[in-house]
Amino acid sequence: MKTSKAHLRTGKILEMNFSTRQVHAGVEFDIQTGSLNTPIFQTTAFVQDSVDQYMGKGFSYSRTSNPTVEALERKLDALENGSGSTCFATGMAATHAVFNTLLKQGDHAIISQVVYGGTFRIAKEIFKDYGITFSFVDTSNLQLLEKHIQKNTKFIFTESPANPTLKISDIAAISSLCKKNKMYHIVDSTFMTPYLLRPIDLGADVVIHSTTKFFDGHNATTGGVAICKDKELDQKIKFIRNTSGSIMSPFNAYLTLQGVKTLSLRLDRQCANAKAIATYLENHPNVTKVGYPGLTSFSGHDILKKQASGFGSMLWFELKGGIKEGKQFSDNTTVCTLAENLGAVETLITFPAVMTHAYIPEIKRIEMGISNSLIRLSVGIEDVSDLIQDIDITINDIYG
Amino acid sequence: MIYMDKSTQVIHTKKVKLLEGNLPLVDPIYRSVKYTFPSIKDSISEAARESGFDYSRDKNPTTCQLEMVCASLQEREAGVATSSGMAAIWAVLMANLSMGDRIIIFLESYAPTRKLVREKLNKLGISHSMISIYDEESIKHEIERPETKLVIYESLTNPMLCIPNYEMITSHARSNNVITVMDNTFFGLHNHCDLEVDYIVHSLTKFANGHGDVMGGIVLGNKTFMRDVRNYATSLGATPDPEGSYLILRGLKTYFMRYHKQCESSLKIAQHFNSHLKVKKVFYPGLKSSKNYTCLPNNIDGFGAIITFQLDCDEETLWKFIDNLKIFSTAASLGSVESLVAPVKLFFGKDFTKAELKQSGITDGTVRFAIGIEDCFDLIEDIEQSLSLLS
Repeated sequence: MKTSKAHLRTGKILEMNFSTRQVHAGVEFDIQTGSLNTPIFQTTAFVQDSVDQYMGKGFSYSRTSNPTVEALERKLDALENGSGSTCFATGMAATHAVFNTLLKQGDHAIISQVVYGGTFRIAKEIFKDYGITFSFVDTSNLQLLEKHIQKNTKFIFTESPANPTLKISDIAAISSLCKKNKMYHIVDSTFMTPYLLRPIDLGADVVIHSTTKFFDGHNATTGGVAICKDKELDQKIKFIRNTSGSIMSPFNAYLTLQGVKTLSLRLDRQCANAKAIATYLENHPNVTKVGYPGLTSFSGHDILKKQASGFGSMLWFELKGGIKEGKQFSDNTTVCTLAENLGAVETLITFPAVMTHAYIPEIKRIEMGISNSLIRLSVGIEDVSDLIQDIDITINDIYG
Repeated sequence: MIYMDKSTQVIHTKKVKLLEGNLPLVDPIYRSVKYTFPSIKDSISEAARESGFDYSRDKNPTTCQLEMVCASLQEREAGVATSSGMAAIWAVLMANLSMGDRIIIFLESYAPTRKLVREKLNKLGISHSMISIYDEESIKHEIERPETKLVIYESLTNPMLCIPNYEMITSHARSNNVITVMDNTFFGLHNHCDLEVDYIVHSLTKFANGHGDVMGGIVLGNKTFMRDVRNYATSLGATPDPEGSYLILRGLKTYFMRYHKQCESSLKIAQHFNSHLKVKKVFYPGLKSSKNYTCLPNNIDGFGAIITFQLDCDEETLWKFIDNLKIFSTAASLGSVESLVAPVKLFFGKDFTKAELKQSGITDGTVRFAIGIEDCFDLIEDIEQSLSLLS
């Protein structure tokens, strides 16, 4: 996992491991003061030396670009091995900008069947009205995927592991399928982060993240990023960001920059905690099913084992019974909190059947793998025995 | 509701009401300077005095949250946060000392603490004894002097990492009614809870914040002892900004992971260079050969993230060694995610006489490393490559 891409002080290039790069990549000491941390450039406009030297220092107006935001872009780009990255006010703004960049009237695109609700909504409710068609396909099934490719298919959008079922798609295989058919492969890799998996190294063209999740890691900012394999495509995405005005704020970029520095520490702990909780749940008599990609029983485990260096901090489980038991669990935990984010230091619960996925008809929802008692856990960095104790007491209270 | 012009309304806005139980997961930053009560009577009630908020120089909810977390980590009853570590030291000293009192300070202490005692307290009629932390006979003798009121020491001295005889200092001070103040910054926020010291102080700028972006300090102790500190701190006005308190609270969430990783790397680095041909001596409390190693409590969790080397070279060669490091930045803080390096004599020895320098163990070739959370082998490789350039 070595690279010589990231640089420290100007002119000094070192081969560094991930945990070093997450701290140093993209950070350039402030020339004027030597400030070790990137300053927050809370300014709208940048003074130009003269008309002739317009944009000579690279900045004009903070809707187009901003030095603090750029520092975060350099860091994320270095961690994902990209050639250009663009930060947005939210993860959805990133997805929206990528759709806007690549799709025009008459085009077709394929999206993972199980995908974040926001992505589903912009396809079905916004881009559909521009004369663009979409197929929602199980991207873990390559034969099926190939059948849905049309002459006008512009891209495959893969979310893996998918939210909330954690269905695993083969990033490398879909990337080569896209290459063969001259399509782009876009990967929403929010659940993995570049610490665990790097889609561009596996052949993908664009990686999207909600930086709100693992990158910030403290439940404090919203943000998104699109990272491109190709510099030209990155320029096109930046054009859309400028015209649609969806850039990340300098202050959020600063907090995210600071958050990324502890990414591997948090993830190591979160992955280990998730594995321990999944193993505990697997052996509980009132838990009927557990989904965690780190369990050998999980479909797709082998693919992830090959392509990633860890299995993430997301898991789900089904309780005996249905909606009633699921609700009872979600409402009564003490350490785990009922809230709709993920990836941060706190352990969070969501109950998709009633919360995030209530808009899908029950039969269809269950067919997608979201049963009535499915509970999604985003495992945090708390002490694992405290978490297991909390879950144990809550489950046992339901069944008496 | 009386009629209000829009120019009044825009100031006295309707408040957003959160539904009961609909709470933010992350505590808000209370930016408000002033807090109100429904009536004057309420504002002077017992409840208001105990747990009310009035003015942000006295107390602020975001800062109180920080004080609560730190107090619970160090198992103390109360805390008063300040705008820097030095403000915490100043507050605890001034809250307890008056003209005619004497204070014991150690030669090996943090330079700004030393300077404060030597240059400022003197002018206020407070005398001091400056002795070596290893000189146990003198420590006992000075504690027994009737005018001695307080002893201040570091749980690990900066920058030479001397381990004090905690048990001797605290028990002797206690039996002579001398107040003990321990700066526990180098051992993190959760070690040394069992020590019977009266006050623990910390620079929160270091491990607590951990991201090198906020200055902060805190004094911790039991409620009675802390009342005077709170009163003094309110007059001192070195109050943390709520934004800063928020960022330290945010930093604390990853404190244990950072601290453990930093300690683990530090021990590996200290062991790696302990018998290195180009390193004359390595100072790190995790090395069993350290002086007073047996004074460390059995339950110590991690030996900190500061390592000091003595290189057999002149000052100019040391600077060259430091400038050739690629990952370590030359800067005087510690406990943060980034690794830092400091030339000791230049940074911390300016106020010393030649004799004092010698006594404190600082030489031309003394260098202090503050280890961050980077990959440990990258750090070892970096020190190795720079050492290899030395003739």
